[in-house]
Amino acid sequence: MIKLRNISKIYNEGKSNENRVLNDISLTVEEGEFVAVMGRSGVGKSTLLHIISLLDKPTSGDFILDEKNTASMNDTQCSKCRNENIGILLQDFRLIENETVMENVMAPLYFSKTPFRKMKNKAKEALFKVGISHLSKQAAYTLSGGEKQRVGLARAIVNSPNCLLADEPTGSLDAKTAGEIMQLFHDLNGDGMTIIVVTHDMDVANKCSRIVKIENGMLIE
Amino acid sequence: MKTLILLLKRIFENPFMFVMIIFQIAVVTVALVGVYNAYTLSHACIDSVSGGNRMIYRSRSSDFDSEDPVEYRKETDELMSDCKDYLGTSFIANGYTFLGENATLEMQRLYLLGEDIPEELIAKTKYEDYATTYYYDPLTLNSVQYPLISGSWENMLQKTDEMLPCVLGGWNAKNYKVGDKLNYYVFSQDGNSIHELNYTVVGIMPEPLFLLGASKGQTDKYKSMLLSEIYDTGINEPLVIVSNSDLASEYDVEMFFIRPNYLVYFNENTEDRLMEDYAVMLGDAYACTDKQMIASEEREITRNIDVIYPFVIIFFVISLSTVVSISVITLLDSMKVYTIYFLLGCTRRKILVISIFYSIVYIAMSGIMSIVIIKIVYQLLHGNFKHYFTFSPKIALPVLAAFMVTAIISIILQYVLQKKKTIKELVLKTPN
Repeated sequence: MIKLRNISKIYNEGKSNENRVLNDISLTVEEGEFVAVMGRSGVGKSTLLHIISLLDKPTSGDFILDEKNTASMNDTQCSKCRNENIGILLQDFRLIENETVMENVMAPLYFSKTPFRKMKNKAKEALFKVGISHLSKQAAYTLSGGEKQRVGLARAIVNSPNCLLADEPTGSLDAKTAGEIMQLFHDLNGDGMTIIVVTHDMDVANKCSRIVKIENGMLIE
Repeated sequence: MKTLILLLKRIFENPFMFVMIIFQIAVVTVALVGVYNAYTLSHACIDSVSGGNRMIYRSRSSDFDSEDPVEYRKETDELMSDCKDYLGTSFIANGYTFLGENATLEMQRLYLLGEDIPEELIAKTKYEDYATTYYYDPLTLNSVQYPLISGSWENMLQKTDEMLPCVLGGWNAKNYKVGDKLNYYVFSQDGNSIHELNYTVVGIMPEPLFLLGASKGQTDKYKSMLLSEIYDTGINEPLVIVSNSDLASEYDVEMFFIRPNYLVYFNENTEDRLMEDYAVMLGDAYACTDKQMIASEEREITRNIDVIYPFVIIFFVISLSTVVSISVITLLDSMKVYTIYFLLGCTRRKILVISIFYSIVYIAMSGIMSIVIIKIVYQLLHGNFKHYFTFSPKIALPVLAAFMVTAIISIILQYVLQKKKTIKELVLKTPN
């Protein structure tokens, strides 16, 4: 379960260019929920996602992940927690372009407790789930945008996280491919995975079971 | 295991860049070793004469035709009567001969018998089997006192167990130690027989070393007062033997005696001003003190360095900027991957470990490649130039230190770049 209590995020606090991005936001996402976070560009959607993915810390407020307050976690604990519990999918894919699809998908397992001998099998399973087993030996830079996003999704789920966070996952894809990606999200959600999608696309948000909006740093259900 | 695989992945992700940076660092290292060795070699002549007794080099006028050492010394003694620190005179190198062993001896024997020398025997006669011997009289031995890395010059004055004491130099000298015995063979002065000469090693000279040579300074044409013009460099010699001419004469060894120019020795504490007065007093064609020769040598070295200095600087700056450019490109490339690793849950500490090992690997491989290139260049070059490309212990330490400093700078740079804020900024891009 993800619980945000009175989260605020202020950049350049106390300086002339102070920017209050999130203002006293509270949000609870239950296990197995499929939530869309909507809002215009620059309203703080991605900042919220970065806080939930433990890449950034709030200026104030508490973020509780699976009954654990993350405020007390140090950098190493945050990294381990992110590796074990959270899968991240970004609009720009963030693949290692020179490496093969298989190597890209295996990457998170290098930082997990998964034994080395089992890494390949886990990666194969993830590739099978997203339907790109046939691409496993291809270098990432040879793939299309849709294929890259599937690789990113396979990489995000390879370590069987409780929660998948997607930041504009269909932002750089055509409508057909975007639909396929959303279908994959549905399948994963059907298997019990919690999914939070940050988007400004209403069509994408409508495919989620719950929509929350951010306006002027405030959350509106 | 997993970290090691990640490290290997980093290395093989862009092998061309990896090899290029290693090659560049190696080339810069080889160039620096070359410059350092060239500088050391140019100074070796000065180093070789420092520490012994003071001396004045005296050149005779070209119309002097006597080669009688008795006449020579008589005249010198007259000139010296007013010099209170005067110790004695020495002709530049009293004796000089080549020695050979094994196949050489057999070849000499056949030659003496008037028989044909088989081609196979000539092929067997290696350059390394030869030694060049310099015989100095006891006064010269006492006065030159070339630096030694082991042993002592004091043991050069007396024969023990029918063996001639000797001090070794040349690039083969490091294979010997004090107390070793050497057997060589030499023609007698009449050329009709061969003598066996037995030497015992009492000292080892460092490399490179310059020695008072027989073929140097024999006329008054050397007027530039350079030390290197009256000293022989032994750097191309496999083995140089310095021995006592008084003891060697008992063996009827063929030697070239008497040269018109000579050195006058003074007490090591003699003041510069007094030495200069003596030089004026002794002057025939011309005379100069050791300090004057050292100063001339240093001026010559400075002049040579001034010529090549701009080229060395230009080469160094170009190479260094290339190394830095490739390093920064590689580092930025790596940072993109490390950002992805961080996103996927890699700890900052592990990223730092990978990047540090990456730096250590390429620095270590650059070191290995430097040694390989130096070995190849040494084999390919001929003459004195090849000695610019040797990894002596003197240069090995600074090079090792330079590599360690480079590795530490690289590690610090990686650490600074990967501080939490930086890697997070790369992940988060600009804040909303």
